[in-house]
Amino acid sequence: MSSTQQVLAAGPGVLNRRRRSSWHRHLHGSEFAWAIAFVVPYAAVFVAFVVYPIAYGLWMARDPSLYRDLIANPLYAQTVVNTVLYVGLGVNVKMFLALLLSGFFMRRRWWIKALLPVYILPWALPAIPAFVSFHWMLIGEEGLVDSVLSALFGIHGPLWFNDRRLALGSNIVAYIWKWMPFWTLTFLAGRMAIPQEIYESADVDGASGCRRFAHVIFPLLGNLYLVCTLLSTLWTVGDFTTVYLVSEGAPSYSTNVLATLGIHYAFEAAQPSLGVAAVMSARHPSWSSRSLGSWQVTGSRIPCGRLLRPT
Amino acid sequence: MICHPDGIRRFILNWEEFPGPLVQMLHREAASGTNAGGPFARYAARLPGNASAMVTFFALLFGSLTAFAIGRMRIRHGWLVSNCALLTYVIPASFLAIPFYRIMQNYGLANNPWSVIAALVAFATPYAIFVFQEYGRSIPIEVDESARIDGASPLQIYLRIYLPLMAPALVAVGTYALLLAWNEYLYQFLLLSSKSSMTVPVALAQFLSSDQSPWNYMMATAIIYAVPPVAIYYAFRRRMTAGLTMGGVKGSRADPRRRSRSPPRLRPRSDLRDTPIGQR
Repeated sequence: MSSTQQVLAAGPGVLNRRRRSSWHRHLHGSEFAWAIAFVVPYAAVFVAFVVYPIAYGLWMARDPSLYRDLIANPLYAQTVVNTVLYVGLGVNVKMFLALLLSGFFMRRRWWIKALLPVYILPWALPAIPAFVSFHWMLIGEEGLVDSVLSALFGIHGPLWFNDRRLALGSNIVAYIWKWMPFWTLTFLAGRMAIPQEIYESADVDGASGCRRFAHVIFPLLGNLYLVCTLLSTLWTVGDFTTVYLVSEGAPSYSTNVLATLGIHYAFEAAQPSLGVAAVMSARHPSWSSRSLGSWQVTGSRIPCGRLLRPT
Repeated sequence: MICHPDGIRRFILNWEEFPGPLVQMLHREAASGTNAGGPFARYAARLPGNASAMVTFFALLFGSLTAFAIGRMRIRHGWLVSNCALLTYVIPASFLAIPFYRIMQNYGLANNPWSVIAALVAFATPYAIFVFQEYGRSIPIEVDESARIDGASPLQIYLRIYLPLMAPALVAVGTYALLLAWNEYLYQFLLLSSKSSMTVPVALAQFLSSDQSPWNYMMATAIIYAVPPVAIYYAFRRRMTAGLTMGGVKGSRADPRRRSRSPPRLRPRSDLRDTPIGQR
């Protein structure tokens, strides 16, 4: 039996006593070459497809006159307002509903357990079919929603994408519908990590229902909720697919967010530098919230492994 | 036709073009609605299957190699590499789309599936490195050391010891990368815009804005496109969440390491009564 097999047979309990490795201190010669060779493929990908695009983007958007053009354009101001509304309303409503629903899915009834796989279907679906069908449900008179309205109540439904507020609302509803299951599962994991004894003692003390939520669960999940909200905000600022497919910026580009406006400038208006400037103008809030978010993540030991999902 | 052995073989070889006829009908319907007429170009929208498999493979390969060098071989300044990798997520992918379009032309990869694969590998690998490093902490470093004493080279340790022990994390991250690549839209839309290289989601979204959208064909194509990820998702859901929480949750009850390391609690119940709840 080789020493490897002995160590493997001994199991993890024996091995964790001494965690300091001696390998890194003696890493030289051929082993050092191996280690470098292991890192080089990813380093090449990182330089070619992360560093270079970022640098290229910053270089494209280097001209200050671009930002003057942007600010002078009323479309840009409206887009910033849309982005703030879309992110602010979408993220907060979604997070709060997810927090409440995670409590519902903690119950142990059989039909609630059966409901969970159905509930996470929007998250499992690819974004394109999901938002294409959302768009289909809301198109004018032959769309599903307006057809149902006229069949059941005999009223003429609105033209959803002809009104800025309705179109923006449709985007936000589609966004919440798509992403709420993911965050519900995250909060569900957070609630599962709360020891059962705490619930029991709260029960003994007579705290139940709303009071248990306000005084026991929310303080315990507060940090997780904050971190998730920050991460979600960051991802939602970069969300392109929802707005591009549900409202398509209609009516007349008035529901665009920064991500779709950037693509619109670059590929429909043939002004790529202006497009980069438009999206890069959002990088300041996203940078600050990212640093805050990562600080929180490292500080608070939450299930950040499953949260790090690039959009 | 499909029951014939030759048909089956052709189907397996060209399974990505399975929704092709449907997309052809889509184009025909859309064109008849607008009276465009004329000869139809050959539209071959394909499912992004092989590209997704490639993204998964390279993300797992590069991610595990890097995590091995940083976490197991403890290469000097390795933390710098993993922190830089996470910087990828500072700027959302959609914000980098415009520069990506330009640099892919510089690289000569315009309308080449490899451009999308490269972009998605770049976005999926940092997450893979992160999870592998976290998960790798649960595997004692002494396993590597003893293999080294037995005369194994770093490559042998990586292949024979590291990869088999990392299997749960590989499955979790692989599923994640596969779904990420299959569901991706923006980069496929921008980088694969020619008729010969177009994928199904791009073809779908193309008809959204036309006045006479052939909704029945669009929905049929959408279902074909959506079934594989949903099936994979439900099949791997438990493993996905298990693998990812193993890497991410520390100090919580879901942590298997903690459970295995701590001795069984033999204290009588009366001891617990005196400790405040928060400290347990």
